[in-house]
Amino acid sequence: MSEDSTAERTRLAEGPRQNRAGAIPPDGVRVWVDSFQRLHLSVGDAQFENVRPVQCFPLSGKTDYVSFLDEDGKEVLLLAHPDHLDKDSRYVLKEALEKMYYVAKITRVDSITETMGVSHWSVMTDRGYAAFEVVDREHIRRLPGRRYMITDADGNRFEIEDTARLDARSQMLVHSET
Amino acid sequence: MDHFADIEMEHPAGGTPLRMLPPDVAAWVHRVLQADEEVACCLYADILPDGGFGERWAFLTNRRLMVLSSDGAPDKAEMPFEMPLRHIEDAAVREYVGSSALLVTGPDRAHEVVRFSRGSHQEASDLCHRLKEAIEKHKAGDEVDRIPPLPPRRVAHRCPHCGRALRRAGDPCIHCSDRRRILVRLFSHVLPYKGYALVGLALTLTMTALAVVPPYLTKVLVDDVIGQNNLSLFAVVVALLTGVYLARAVVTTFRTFTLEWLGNKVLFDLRVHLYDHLQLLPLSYYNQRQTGQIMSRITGDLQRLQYFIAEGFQEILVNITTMIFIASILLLLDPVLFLFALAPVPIIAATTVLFGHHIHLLYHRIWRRMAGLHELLADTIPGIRVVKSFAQEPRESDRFARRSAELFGQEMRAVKLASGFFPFLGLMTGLGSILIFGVGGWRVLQGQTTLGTLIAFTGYLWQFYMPIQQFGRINHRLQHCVTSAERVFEILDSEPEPVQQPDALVLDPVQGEVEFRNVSFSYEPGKYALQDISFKVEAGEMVGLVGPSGAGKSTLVHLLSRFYDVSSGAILIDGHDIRDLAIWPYREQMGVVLQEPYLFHGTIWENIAYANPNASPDEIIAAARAANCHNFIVNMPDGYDTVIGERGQTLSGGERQRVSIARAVLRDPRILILDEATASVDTETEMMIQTAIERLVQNRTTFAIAHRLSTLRKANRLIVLERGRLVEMGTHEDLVHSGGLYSRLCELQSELSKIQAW
Repeated sequence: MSEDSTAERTRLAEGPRQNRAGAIPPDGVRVWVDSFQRLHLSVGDAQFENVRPVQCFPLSGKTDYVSFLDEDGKEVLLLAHPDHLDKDSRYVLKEALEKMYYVAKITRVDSITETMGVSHWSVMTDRGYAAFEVVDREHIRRLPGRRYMITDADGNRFEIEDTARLDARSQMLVHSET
Repeated sequence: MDHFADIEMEHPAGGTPLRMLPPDVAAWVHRVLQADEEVACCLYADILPDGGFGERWAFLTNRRLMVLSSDGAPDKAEMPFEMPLRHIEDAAVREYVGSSALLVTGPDRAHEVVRFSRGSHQEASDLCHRLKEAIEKHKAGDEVDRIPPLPPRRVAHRCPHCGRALRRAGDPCIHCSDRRRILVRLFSHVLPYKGYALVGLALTLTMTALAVVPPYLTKVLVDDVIGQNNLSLFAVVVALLTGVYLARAVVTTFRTFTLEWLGNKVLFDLRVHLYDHLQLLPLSYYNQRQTGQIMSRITGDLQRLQYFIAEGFQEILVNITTMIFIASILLLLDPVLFLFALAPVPIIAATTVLFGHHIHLLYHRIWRRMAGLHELLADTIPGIRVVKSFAQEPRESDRFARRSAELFGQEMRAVKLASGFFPFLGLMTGLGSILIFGVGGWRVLQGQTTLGTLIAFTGYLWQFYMPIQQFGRINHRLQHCVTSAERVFEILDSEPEPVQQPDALVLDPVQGEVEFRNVSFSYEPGKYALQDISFKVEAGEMVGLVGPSGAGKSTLVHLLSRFYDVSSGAILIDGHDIRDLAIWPYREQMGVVLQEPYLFHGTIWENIAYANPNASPDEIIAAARAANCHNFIVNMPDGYDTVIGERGQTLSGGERQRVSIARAVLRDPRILILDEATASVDTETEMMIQTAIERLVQNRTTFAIAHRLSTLRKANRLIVLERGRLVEMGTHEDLVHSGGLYSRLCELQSELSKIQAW
């Protein structure tokens, strides 16, 4: 209950600054990480430790909102325009979010073969070569702007940022599979 | 990602994890291990600290936690991280969206030990678990001399034999099942009707043979009858031709009938067999799959199989025999002309194979677009009320039109390809005939061959080119068929519930004493839905299950119905383990009233009598009265014979609920499960349902899940769950005064009811 009231206090204290979505602007918000790899957050007098940042719209590319959750998954702060944080906080947050949404980006498709509903992909990504299997068509998600998010059999993610930027052969392979 | 292909998978139970490592990694570990140091767990990590793909191994021994990094060169192996167990204060697996990390905390700072993708998650949480146990021991002042070894586990959605991904956890592996075996298996379903199959085959061969006769008779007609003016032979030839055509008509009729019968009969068998099997599959099977997918297997995939059983196999055989047959006739008639006839064969064969490949890809795409269209329909048609309420008809029309246009586009590509291909083939065979006419005509003029031979030759030519064209496409058809067969066999191979164990215990009647003993359960590895639940309920007691959504209430009653088996611990019914009980007799003594009662299309009568079709009218009416639904039923023009539409949509929510209670009353269960039976109805209806339920629960062991705590005021005891754990248990009075979760929930609800009372 005490954590609730802390969060509540922040809300009340920051009341006038909130926008319609209940988000708080970045000035006065600080984010840092300690040597125990815990992320800290402070807004004015209120401090939160061991929070984790999540994007509200991780796939649609609207990066204006970052929500900070405590260990129980309860939101302690909704931050608007995180790119206007001070330099150090911005760097820490960027690192944390990059880790959170680790995704290899496919730069070339070498082959896609399908055997009985399971497709086997061999691809080159920005992180290195990868081979994976996709077990369900629903795991190939088409996003706006010819973007694709692919989830493999283990739950790992691979992204194609824009099919039009792939070479012709890769494009042909991707299109016959989607 | 498939990183494990080269690892030996066979391991004796309880074997050390090292046996399962690639040899160079195992050798390295052996080098660095100290005396009496032993590896307990290992973890394959595939993400380097900088985020790139790479290879690292983490090992937990009875002394330390260490990481090996070799980057593919075993002689350059390094140890980027090492920490003695006694310095570790805490350990955790941090989960991110696309990866995870193992984090250990030392006295002054925390270290990210390794990062890895999802495939290693299970092993990581095992390792973390063992590590924490060791930390606890250290903290208690005990010496850790041995951590029991744990072989790396593969997650269930990979094949235990080859490590390749399975479509769903528990599916048979498509790589380990040989394609030819699938065809053999398909034919095993034809075996009971092998008589029909043989007759069909004989008729097919006869038909082929008969097709060979007419061109030869033409040759006789031209050369011997017209050429020699032989009238008696003329009559014979005409009679023979008539006979051959007549025989062909008769044989074809019988052949078609026989093969169609065979195909339909085998299809019928498979369909019934498949549905029987589906009924016996556990709930978990259905949870992992979409209904539409299962339905399309019973209809679409089976249809494809019918084609293959009836036609496909025979077609292959006929093509081969025809080709050999015709080729030898052509060779006999005129070897030189035969060589010329072969000229277009490579072109025909090559274009057919090429065309087959492209059209196959296109059809695949069309099939995907079609599936997309189906999905859209399945989504919007049932949601039409929402569409209309928000006036989004134009948008939905747009959406459909867009997908439809995509389908049209792909269809047209296929049409373009096909409309060019067939005329091209015609042209090739036409050129073939022209070549024969040219060369043959010249040979006739030279007197090297007869006119009749030439005419017969061109007649046979078509029959010769035909099978070549068909071979190009038969391969794809075969592939389709094997895929369909796979999908069908996948259902048949899934493990059914053990309903017919011969030595299972039958409790009749069940007394209703229920005990949960340290029950844990998880739907997916590593995530407990229920953890260490223990309680005992006496026969006839009513127990309320309370807790926030996602606390595990529904899971608990699923386990009680034995829709799933516990992961650990045991559920005892009248002192017997639920797994030892015969399933059907046990479930027959259970009654369930669900939040969203499911009524089948049929009359109210049939729905109440669903569990007990032989119930007398007295019993039905008594049950309806007990459920407070008799009155509204007799007010309908057709009374108990009223047909309620699909899923009971013609009744209101409260009415449906009461019909489902009547169904449970009629069943007279020993154990009753009420799953939020009053969740979605108004207060007055709730009262009616409430009184009905009160009558129903008497003398039965009852588990009632409720969000409205007022529903539970008659409960003897309440069990409060939170995040899969039992947090409180006791009577309403006890719990209200204890100041725990329940009292907080009660406070919230009384606030709410004040608002509602306004």
